[in-house]
Amino acid sequence: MYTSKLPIRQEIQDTHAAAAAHWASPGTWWSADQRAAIVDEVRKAWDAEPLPPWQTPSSTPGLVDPHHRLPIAAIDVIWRLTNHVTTLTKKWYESYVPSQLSPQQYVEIVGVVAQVTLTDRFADALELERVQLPEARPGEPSREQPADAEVVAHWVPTAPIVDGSWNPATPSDVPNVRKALSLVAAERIMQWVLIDAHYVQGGALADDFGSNHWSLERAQIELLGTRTSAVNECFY
Amino acid sequence: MNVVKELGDDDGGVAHGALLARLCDAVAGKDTEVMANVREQVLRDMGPDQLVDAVGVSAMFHMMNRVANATGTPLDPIMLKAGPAIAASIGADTFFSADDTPG
Repeated sequence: MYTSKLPIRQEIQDTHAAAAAHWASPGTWWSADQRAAIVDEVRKAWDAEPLPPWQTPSSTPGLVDPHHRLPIAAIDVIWRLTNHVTTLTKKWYESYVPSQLSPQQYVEIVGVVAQVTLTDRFADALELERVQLPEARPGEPSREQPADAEVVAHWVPTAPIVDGSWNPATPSDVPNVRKALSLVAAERIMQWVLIDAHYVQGGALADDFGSNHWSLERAQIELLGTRTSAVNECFY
Repeated sequence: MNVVKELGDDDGGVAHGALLARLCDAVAGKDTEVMANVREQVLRDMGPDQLVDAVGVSAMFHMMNRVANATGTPLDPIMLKAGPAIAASIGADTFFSADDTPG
């Protein structure tokens, strides 16, 4: 994985490698080839000359290969998620879902884009080579559907989750961001594997504001999270 | 909350708070020179373990912010009462996502 003089913790090395293997594997609604193409497109979008948010790559000459492995709508969504996270609205979401992408396809894209953004912002900031994907694994998407998924409070459908790590007394009452990708369980699980390696493990969130985690004080961790969320204009 | 709302010298009561806020902005940006300068200062003033962990936390929030903003994740019940005051204090009530975050 990463080669550096910096002391990169084993949890970070292991989870970034696991994420790369996950992206190169058949997903729930996209094939391994298509998921690798999502990763490529996130990197292409980030490294490109910036476009204004209303300008899609598909409407910009020369940016999208006409024989791309992904539908045009998926590419446009990936670029917007990657470069314009401050501008996402329900109206924008509804311009793609369900007319051009199914909610399941959209949620899987969100999961992969978000995970790649984590690993790439980490690598770029520390002057590391970005995580390379292993060869794409053969196989079909699982098309696994959670029971009882429906639109409740998020834009996207979500499924009930039982997770006692947040509060053992009320295991069905989990933070809404934990439910956000529940329509595609594999992405929700990968998201939480990454969270636990970089932030505060789920069960310790609410009750240990005086503790240190890794080499940082909890107050420093929360400042980093709040400032980053402010830069990304994340109201949640 | 100034250290969250705008960059400056105010640590906000957090050790190296102003420097960590600048680190967040550099991680989010695309200016490699700015990133290199902040990285060197964090290394000098805090140390290599703290640099790696701080970048890791900020990078993790880039993931979470995309998940939340892209799915219309609603505020949790625990935040409904305190949310408006906190949002106003850090300027979050002006975010696009404030209009589309169900509460």
